[in-house]
Amino acid sequence: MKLRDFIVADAVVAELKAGDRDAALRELVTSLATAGALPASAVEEVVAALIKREQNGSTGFGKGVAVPHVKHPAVKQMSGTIGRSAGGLDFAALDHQPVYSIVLLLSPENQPQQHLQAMNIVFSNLQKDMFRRFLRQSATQAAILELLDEADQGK
Amino acid sequence: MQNDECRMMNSILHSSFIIGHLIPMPSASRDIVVLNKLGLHARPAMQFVDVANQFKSDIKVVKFGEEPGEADGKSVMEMIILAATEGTKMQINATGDDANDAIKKLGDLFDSKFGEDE
Repeated sequence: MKLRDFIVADAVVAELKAGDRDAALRELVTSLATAGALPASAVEEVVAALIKREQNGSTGFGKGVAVPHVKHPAVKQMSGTIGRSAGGLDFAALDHQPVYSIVLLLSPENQPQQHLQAMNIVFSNLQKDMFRRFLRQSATQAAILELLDEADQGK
Repeated sequence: MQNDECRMMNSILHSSFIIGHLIPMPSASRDIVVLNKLGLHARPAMQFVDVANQFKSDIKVVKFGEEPGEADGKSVMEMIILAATEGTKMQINATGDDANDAIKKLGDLFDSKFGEDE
């Protein structure tokens, strides 16, 4: 599995307008819906589920990245997007540092193996210092997609 | 002369090797199987790391099977990268003074399916 298999290109937001966690989650889910990855009618439910998930335990795993994720019946095909916040957002991260890069993942129900594979590829990349640094510096959607392509090609 | 020095170095290396074996670091390990349906996803991975961090021992987690791997049991990212699905055979290894306690608590997490219903 590769990042570009599930990251929806049109939904990637290089400059999040949101100033806090919940608004960022809403902005990214709305972006996925606009790109056709999710019915618009499901946006509020999915956002609520993501917020609840964060309240149960932050997906801000440290080093300026967060990976909010949830499975939901309205999601027919695993879809993800990326949001970048130049100013940083408070995700109540494990290391108490702001989050600058968000990889958001929506999974259908009953596909735990696919979900684990996606998390594997996301974290394999996020663990690399260079990937995190370039992601944080990529100021346009095109630059982020180029970074994903390079990561998928193992560069 | 060089041979003598060489022999002396060998002797020093050899004796430190033996001393290393005379005072072994306590270690413990346990074979486990992922029982919960969703596998070792983010929440259980974090739960594992939280418990692992209560101990001084080094914790390593080995994943067997078609896509084998190894993770630092105190790193959430490394644990998630293992992507261990239901039924995956794994081994927890602890090295340190509290290795036995660590293995017991960490093994119990897997046995209890990390508190998940299925």
